[in-house]
Amino acid sequence: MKKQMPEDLIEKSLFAELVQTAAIDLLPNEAETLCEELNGQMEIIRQLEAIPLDGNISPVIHGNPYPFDIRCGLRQDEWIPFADPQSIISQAPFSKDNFIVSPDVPHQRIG
Amino acid sequence: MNREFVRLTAFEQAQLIRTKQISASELLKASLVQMEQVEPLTHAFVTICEKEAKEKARAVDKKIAAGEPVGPLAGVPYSAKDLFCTRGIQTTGGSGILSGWLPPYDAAAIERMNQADAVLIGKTNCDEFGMGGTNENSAFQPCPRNPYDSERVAGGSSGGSAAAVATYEGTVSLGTDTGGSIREPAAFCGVVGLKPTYGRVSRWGTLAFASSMDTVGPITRSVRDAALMMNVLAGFDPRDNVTGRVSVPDYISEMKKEIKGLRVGISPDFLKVAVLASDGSIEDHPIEPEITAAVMRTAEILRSAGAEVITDVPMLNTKYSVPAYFVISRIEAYSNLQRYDGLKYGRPSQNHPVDMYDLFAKSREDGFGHEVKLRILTGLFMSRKDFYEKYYLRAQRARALIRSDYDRIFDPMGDYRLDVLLTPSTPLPAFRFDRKGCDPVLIQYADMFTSPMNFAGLPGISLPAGKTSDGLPIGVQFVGYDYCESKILRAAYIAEQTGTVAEGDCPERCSELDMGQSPFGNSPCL
Amino acid sequence: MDYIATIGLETHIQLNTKTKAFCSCKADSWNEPPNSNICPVCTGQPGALPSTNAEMVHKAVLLCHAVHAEINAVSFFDRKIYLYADMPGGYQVTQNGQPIGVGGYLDVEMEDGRVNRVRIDNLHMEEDAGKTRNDNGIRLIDLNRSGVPLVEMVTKPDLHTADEAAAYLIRLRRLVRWIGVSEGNMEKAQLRCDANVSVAPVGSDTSGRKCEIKNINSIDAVRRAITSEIERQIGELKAGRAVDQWTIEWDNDAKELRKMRSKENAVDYRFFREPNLMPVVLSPEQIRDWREELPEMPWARKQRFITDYGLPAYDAGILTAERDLSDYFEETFRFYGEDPKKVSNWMMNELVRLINDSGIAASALKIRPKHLAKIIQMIDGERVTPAVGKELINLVQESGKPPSLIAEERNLIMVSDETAIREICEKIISASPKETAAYRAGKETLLGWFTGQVMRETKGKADAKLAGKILKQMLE
Repeated sequence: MKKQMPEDLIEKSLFAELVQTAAIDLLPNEAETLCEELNGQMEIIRQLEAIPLDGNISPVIHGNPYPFDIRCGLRQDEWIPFADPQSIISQAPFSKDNFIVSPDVPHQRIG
Repeated sequence: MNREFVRLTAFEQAQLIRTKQISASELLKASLVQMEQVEPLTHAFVTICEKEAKEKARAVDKKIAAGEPVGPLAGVPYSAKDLFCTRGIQTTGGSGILSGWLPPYDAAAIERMNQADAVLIGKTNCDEFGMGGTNENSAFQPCPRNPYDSERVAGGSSGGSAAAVATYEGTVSLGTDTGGSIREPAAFCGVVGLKPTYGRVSRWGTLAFASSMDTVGPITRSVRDAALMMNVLAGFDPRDNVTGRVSVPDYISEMKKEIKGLRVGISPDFLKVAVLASDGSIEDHPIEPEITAAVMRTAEILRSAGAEVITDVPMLNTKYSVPAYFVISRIEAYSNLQRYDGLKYGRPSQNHPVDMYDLFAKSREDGFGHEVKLRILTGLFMSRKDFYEKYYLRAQRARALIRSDYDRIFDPMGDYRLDVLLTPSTPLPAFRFDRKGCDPVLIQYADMFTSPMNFAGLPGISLPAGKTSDGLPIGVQFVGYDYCESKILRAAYIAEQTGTVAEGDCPERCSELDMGQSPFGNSPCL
Repeated sequence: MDYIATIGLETHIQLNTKTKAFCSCKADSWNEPPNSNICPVCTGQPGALPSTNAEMVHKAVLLCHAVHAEINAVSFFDRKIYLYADMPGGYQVTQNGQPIGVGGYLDVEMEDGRVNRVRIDNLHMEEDAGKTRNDNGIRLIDLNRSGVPLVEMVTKPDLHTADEAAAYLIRLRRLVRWIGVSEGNMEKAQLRCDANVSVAPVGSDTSGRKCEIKNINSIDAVRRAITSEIERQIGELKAGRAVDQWTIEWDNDAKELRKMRSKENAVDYRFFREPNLMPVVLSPEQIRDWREELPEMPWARKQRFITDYGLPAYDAGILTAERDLSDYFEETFRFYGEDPKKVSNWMMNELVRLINDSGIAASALKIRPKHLAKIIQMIDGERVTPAVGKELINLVQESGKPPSLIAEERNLIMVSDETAIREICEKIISASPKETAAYRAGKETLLGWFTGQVMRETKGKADAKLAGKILKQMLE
């Protein structure tokens, strides 16, 4: 295996930023393992560089094309109420007066 | 009660039920007994919905008694991977974070199976959110065992579905396939698995893994059952905007059409694992020779049935699909997993969250498994704003490149004019949980022959093609062009019917197996 | 040292479609119980998939046309990924890379008559978030608003004062209501904006570090929030401190700015194409047809009212405040056929009062333009008195019957029979000896009082001019 380029090394600070954005409260030893594994995957990611892509190739969102005659059209603006909204709210771990309940979001006043 | 009924195909069962030779309730009872005996060994299910199944079976029987028309899968007991939303029946996606969730709605595939009068018996285990190829990444342990060797994996992510179908726990199953998740476990468990064209079957109500590649398809014991299920599942659905407005043929009659002149290709690029390095160098790695032999044997069967076999079809960009698939699947997966926050459904952290962010982070820590966490972090890393071009856009361009190989070989005016491409389903048969005696490179590249089809959007079917000297099933795959499920079914049907594919147990002949012969060996359970 | 502020606005305009952006739930949940208009899609249930509302696209394109934006024949939806309690999918479906509209401008007339051209950077379609509110240390989440279609219209940093920003918003509100794409009610948060504010010393070529103020939901709040943020930044600069790049929220209850927690400030949003949706593809014919649907713009119509009807700018401004009011004027004028100023007076004095009192829009009034024209004609033809005319407006609105019929039925036709009026005048004079004496002693202004008595006696039906003439004769 080739040596990793420094730009691709995921340092502790970058890893911490990723974990925060991911919103996962990792245990310290778990974080260490995952950081190692993430760095271990850099080799696969960097293989992308080896793919010969000439300028004519445009990115695609799906593998198969969607010619006009098979493409799904836009949805008509017709109200079709969902039969049982209560069955959605009843699955929320915490609810009150038909609201879903979350712990508060702290704010900070200016000054 | 005749226990043998569980070994019939769905096609046969529905016929017997329609003609009142057995009742749906009787068949269900037989299936439940089978499950009771086999499940402690297979561990295929997360949830068994006996009550709902009995109700449905009774309803089917009532319809038949009243002389009302019934659907094509009348009374057929089936399972669904736990990624399909089932109204009021626990759906976990194999994840702790959804433990206990009762969906408010049914997936489109479940609706269609229900309309076809099939009877849902339970939800099968899978890798968490479909992310894995062994079914080990499930919050629900023990995970499914391989029916042919309980020391080995069933494959994944639809491992529970494949193991269930192979052990007659329900006749057919609904799976999902994002990188091989139907075809790989089907190959490992010696059953048939079809991944349709992207957009052929509605994904409505199916827990998302990588949205641009997720597909829904059947896992069965016969090609005809796969065709029958495709008749039920395929079609445009306005709720899934990526389904195509393409008419649905009768796959059973299409499957039976003449094979003479069908052009079948074999590519050397699908008979090896090409390991790409970041400097562009490539190292070829051989696959299991017994698997190559099975492909060749299948080609020979088709040739003698009248097909034209074209060898040496170059698929040079196949090797690039690994990194490109890796990037796209992680980025899409990461965003699809954002919604699991412990707030709206599933299991929140019991670890006293102090605020909203704390609830999210703790619930996700408690609820997600290791592999899912790794994929989220990988996806996050690769989708950083400054890497958008370098990774995401580049991978989407690579996708066009990989697709171009298929456009070329299936071009009716091109050099190859193929109808189907024949490949191994996997580079190795089912491997051991402890990985002992198995080539680690082949394990790492286990989805090398299946993920390119997800990346390119094309249909593929894996069917049993004999066994290794160790008695493990081998799967071969037919790949077709967009919306050409008919052709891959036709090739698979001939291979299956000719019988010589399987040295021992062609799936259609499963019912001929000695009743005392369990796939688990001399287990007393059957 | 003097400082100059640079302001860019991102306005969120709720489109008044029947259903939400990506599901078939009802979009308007005003006054409905929490979580009543929800479904698997807009609550982020696992497995749910979006499908694009055709009417959202239609209305977005109308708005693009109205601000002279260029319309992308192919536009894409993207996922904007962030975690928050009001965004159930964990990402917002929006348009990032290739939005529906690019460029364009809105000309904003300031109070001093100066026209401020505000350039538009882009317009994109997206889904609204749900609502959350505090309740004694917990957050209550209502997802009725989740998935309501929005157009976000982003300006270039062409604004420099709080007043300019307010004027822009007022102009935009009028526009979206006028072309019928949004109700534009800021109290209902159908129109709200984020403001990017930076301050730099006059003459310096670097603009200062910018702060984003989020969720401003009234014109008054725009003025207050921007003014106080400009002051805060100037204060920091004067004190020699750097302005931190904050995200600030306007607290509408406390009328003050508050800083959002640093986590909420993480601005490195990740975007990528939403693979569950097809791109929005519009043919040139479709784009052209929708442009032709666009009505005459309010400012153009105001100008036309001034030049074509000779109305004062004040009248033209009031009559074109709402599109249906201006339509009402033109239709009334068509029925009436002469003196547009007279129609304008009747509308501004009587009809606008009726609209304000009843809360009914001009287009929904029972009294139609032909009725109003008829009433004015009846007054002109001296069939009814102006006082009766005013009353007729209310009576037509109450009953929906034609004014001439009501006048007949209720016997409201003007009394102009000289003998009849003379009789009434005699009666009043003989019953008012004190006033008669005062008049005759020189207090001639009492003539008006006498006329009023006649009008009262006839319930406003007497020809007031004639009555005055007779009274004068009799008193002298």
